[in-house]
Amino acid sequence: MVLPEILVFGGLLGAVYALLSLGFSLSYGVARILNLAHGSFYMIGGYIYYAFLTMAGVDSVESLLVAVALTFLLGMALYLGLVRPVRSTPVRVLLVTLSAAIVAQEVVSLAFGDRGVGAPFIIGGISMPLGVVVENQRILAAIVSLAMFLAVWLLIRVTKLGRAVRAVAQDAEAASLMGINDTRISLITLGLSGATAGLAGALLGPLTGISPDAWLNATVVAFAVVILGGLGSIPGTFLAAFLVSYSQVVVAFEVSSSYEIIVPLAVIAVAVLVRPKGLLGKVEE
Amino acid sequence: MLTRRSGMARSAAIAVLVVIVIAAVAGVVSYYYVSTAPATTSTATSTATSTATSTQTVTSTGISTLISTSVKTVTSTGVQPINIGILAPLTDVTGIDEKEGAQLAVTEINDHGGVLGRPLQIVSEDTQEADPTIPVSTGLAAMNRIVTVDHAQVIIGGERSDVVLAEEQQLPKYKIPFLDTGAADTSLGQQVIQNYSLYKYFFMVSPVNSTSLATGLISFYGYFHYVEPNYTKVYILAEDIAVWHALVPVLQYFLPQLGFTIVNPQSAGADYFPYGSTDFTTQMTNVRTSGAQIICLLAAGQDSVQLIQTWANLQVPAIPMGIDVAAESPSFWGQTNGAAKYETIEVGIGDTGTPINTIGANFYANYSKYYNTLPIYTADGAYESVYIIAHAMQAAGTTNGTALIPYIEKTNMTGPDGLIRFDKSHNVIYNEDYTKGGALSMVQWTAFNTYTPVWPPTVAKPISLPPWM
Repeated sequence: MVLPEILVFGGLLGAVYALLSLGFSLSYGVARILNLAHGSFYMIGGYIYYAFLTMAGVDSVESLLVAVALTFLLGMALYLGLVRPVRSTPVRVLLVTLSAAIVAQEVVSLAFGDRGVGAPFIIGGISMPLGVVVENQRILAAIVSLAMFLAVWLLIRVTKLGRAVRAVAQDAEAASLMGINDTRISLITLGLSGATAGLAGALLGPLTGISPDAWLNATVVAFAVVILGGLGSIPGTFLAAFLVSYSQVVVAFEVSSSYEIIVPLAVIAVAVLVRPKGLLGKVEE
Repeated sequence: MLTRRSGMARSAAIAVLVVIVIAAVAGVVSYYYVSTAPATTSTATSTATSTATSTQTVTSTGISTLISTSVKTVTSTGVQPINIGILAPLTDVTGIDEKEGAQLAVTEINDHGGVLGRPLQIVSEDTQEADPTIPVSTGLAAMNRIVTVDHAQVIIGGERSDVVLAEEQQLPKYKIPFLDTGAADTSLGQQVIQNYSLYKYFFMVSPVNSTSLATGLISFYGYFHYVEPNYTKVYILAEDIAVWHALVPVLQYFLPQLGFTIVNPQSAGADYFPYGSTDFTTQMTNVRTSGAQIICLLAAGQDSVQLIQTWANLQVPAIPMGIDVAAESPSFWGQTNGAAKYETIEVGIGDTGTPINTIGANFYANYSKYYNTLPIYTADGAYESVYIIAHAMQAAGTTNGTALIPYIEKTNMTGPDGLIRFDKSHNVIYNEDYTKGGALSMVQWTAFNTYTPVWPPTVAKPISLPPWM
């Protein structure tokens, strides 16, 4: 058993999964929107980062900020343009967000081609935590992901906006009666959802490459993490992200990487059957 | 006071405005990309000694023969063109090169009078088969369109073996020749032998079939063991697709006989990864912990871009030497941000950057001139295929698909990749000597747009190792 490799790679991957899934947890927990286009933000964030860095000559930090900003706006646009009109019917929300994801894939494919793209690393070289050779970019991705996750969590816990978000999550009608604008909160939530997924795509893209169909795997992973962690639970999302990442890494090393993709799907199936509310399944208070 | 309806209308208007802004930004960036994307350097340099140009076979029919025997110049509109169908993944480099290679041949032939007094014309349909998530049915639908809507009288194309296998099943229905220029699975030719009357329409022009690819690779490994006897530990790393499953057992049988040790820990004796994978940290870690010195890489898709980058970034002390289709493209260096350096790949002998004959030299010169890039094997194959068809039509005096088959079978033509003749399975006959058959070479990436031939011995330069080895 390659234990040090599993510990290191599972941990680094889990941090990015936590960031990727955070937005999905927020959008369902707060806005009650099961957004099947969530992975598209990941994909588009990766492409925006690649485009600004390699084609527009913008430096890596600024490219990251642009990716975050544009995916934030995209999240809001998705809500206003497609989700809000059909919000009262969950099935329509699923259909319209799935359609949006497919359209996004085709548009990106037309603009950049079918083959994946890979942006240069922000930081080159390798390090050897626990004697395991790891790219510094991967460590950076994990650190930034954790920092962003913490920042969003603090936003929800500490700020006035965060209190409003939690109020809407608890009871949208009561919050509305208290003067909290449900539309504004849902808008910000979807924007945050897009931004966090977009950042995950921009950070992980240089390591794995990003292609127009990357949204599907990202959506499946986010779905698995949020279902396992508990819909709307941020601590649950954090815990589940590492459970999923370690499961994948163990399967990849000990069985075969061909079965890695099955892990999140199996997690969804088992979680729904065995513990539908997830590990820490209450909406955060 | 705002009503609910006017509030929603305002929200929708804001949403549309935001989408327009984002689309405009994306459009500007995309336009900037298209207009400023660096052109691939058109000239591949090679450090190999050219020994080829004076050794072109004169006993076989050369491509130039067709040009010189054309009857009359095609002068007028109103002459029914002959439709050459390109059935390929048209947004992928393999399909793009297929179409461009075919178009080059069509242009040359039309400039010299066409075939049977008629111009050739390219019609094309996109199978999207380079995308591993695209089902076979997409390719079949494209095939149906190219025959029934575009009225192709011959099909050239193919890239993914499972798609081409399915397309082969349709040939008894359409009864037109299909010249495969991308897929290598040996079973494609076996169908011809097993049921000739149904599948006689299928021909494999390039690459040589997977058995021949294995033969070439094994020959190279034998040579490598002779020049670098201390490098004996091999890790087989392959995409999980049919063509490699057929080839791996051949390698597993012969490599130990040459003095190599296969160090894969997997029970299959090879590490198969899903076609289209993007994360190779597991595989590279396994290579490192196995103590391998050589990675026998088998890849047909774009996943090798990420694989090679991961290999270089992690400084894995094993040199990749195998078959990597994506790495044949001149753009691979840029795609991998230079990580491709030291990767050693098998290519057709016409694709080393040093033409082996005058036909190859002309092909490379014209291809570079028209398309500002270098061709990969699908371009050579498509180029040769158009000439094969043109020769057959001219000799048969007809464009009827069934009538053409015996003439295609008798092809004895020199192309950029050597002598083209078909065996009973309608595969191009492979030979290490390009004057006797389709031949292969191994090249090593050394710099931007530069391969160095490292095999066969007649053209080989020393193989370089990465600085971390």
